[in-house]
Amino acid sequence: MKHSLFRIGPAWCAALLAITVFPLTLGAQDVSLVGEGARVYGNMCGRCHNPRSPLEHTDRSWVMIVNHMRIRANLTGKQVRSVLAFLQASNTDPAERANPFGETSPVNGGAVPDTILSTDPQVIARGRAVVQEGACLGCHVVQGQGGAVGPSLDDVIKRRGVEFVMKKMADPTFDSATSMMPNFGLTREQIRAVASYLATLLP
Amino acid sequence: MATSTTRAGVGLALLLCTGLTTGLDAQRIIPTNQVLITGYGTVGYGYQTQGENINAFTSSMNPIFLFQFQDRVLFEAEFEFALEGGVTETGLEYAQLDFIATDNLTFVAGKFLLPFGVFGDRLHPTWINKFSTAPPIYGHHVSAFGAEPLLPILSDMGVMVRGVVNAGRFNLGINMYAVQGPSIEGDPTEEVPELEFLASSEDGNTNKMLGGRLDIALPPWAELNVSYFNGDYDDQNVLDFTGWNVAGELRTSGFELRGEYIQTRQEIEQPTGFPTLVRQGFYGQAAYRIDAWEPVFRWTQVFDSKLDGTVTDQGAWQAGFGLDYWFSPSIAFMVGYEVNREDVVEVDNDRLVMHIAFGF
Repeated sequence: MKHSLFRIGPAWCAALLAITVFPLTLGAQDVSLVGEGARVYGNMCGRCHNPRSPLEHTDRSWVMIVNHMRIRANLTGKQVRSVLAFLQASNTDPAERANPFGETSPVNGGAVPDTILSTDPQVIARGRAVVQEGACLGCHVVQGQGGAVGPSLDDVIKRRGVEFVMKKMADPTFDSATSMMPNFGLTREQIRAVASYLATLLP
Repeated sequence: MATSTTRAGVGLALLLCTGLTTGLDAQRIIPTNQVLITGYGTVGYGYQTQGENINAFTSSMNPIFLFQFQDRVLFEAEFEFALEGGVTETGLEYAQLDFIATDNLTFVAGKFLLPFGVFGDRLHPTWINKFSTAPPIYGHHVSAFGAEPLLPILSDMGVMVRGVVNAGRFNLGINMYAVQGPSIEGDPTEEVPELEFLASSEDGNTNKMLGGRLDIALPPWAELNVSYFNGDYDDQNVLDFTGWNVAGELRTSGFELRGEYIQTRQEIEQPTGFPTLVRQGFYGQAAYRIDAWEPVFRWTQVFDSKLDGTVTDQGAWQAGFGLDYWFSPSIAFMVGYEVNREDVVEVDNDRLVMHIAFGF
């Protein structure tokens, strides 16, 4: 009549003890905290629902929401901090903030930048730096590194065209109202540099 | 009784030790004391002409209140307001205090969503659930399904500990809880007592239901969850109830496949002994996102209920065909058609359901 809980209970406890006392840190991603947050946001939150736009809440509201979701989604404190860093870095109207790379005159959503790609090594290096140091790798794979939430950027210029890629960086929702890609407020120069860099990745 | 209490005490003591040995080392986010109201609202319409005659609009609102004290304590509560006939019904879906002990450990007390399976814990909000109705094996909200839900419980009162660790590409989680559990509804002398899965501030006996869920997530592609739920349900602490759940999910490039299997085992007191009533069923759901459109198909099957091998209730199945349109990541129009059938009795409970869900 009595069942096996007494035998199973200690196993649950031991497993809980093991994972909390001896936390593992295998395979940490070599991306920035914001980039890691973007990856966790897409991967973990996207398991159950569409990731909501970072613009929906203020910095302080996101603090409570990520703690609320920490319980639901079983996130670690480290993951919560990275997600919060991503959301707080992405929730300001790009027209009203200094862009994360220290330049002025951000593209105000939807304006189409100059689509002529540059072959200047300095411009390409700058584009590479934006991709590597920004949050792109949180969701996209570039040369084998990065997250799997968004499509690979290795051949995106070939697949979607230069104009689409530049428009997407300027206004991520221009082609889909439900896109989770945040607007990072990149400048025209940065967008052109990123596109120029991505064009060099084509075989 | 003493055995169960001892088991619960040993388990919780061990968990407490776990929290203490890991240390209160969670890095602070920012000190904050504030309130936030979030939640979701739903307006819908249902049409059914067979079985039960339904031709009506519906409306409900589920506000969620979050109160945070500094960075370790969060109180969260979700209410539900909906019309039941001409009366506004109110419900407390959960009201819980969360203590974030470490980066890997959180203690929860109060009325909380039960981590049994994943639907009640994570997927039940109308803007998250991709079909207009809940899977009938859970039975949350009105169902036209031909069989009783297997485990119609969303939340319960008690204490819980949630542990999680990130191991490279995996997130491993273990949730353990002790709650009031079900009690007997109606006449306890019935041959097969009907159970009431109603979260209550009173317990029908001195026994607490113990349970837990093991989560293995490989985001964003896959997740596996195994849940267990067990305790005595009668006032004499004699009759045992056990629930098992195995849930899984696969995702890739806009395609999502998820499913859950539930088995419950309820001991029955009879002059000849304590036979076991076994009930089981599952649902599987597939959805594919094409820009703002998302077609959904859900199949639910409840098998015959058996008491020591003898069929006591016939099974039933449901095929649900849905189409969602997403206006934004948290606002969607969902329309679905349910084909509801019982295995033996030809009862046509088919119905059309639709709603607009608004997560805010």
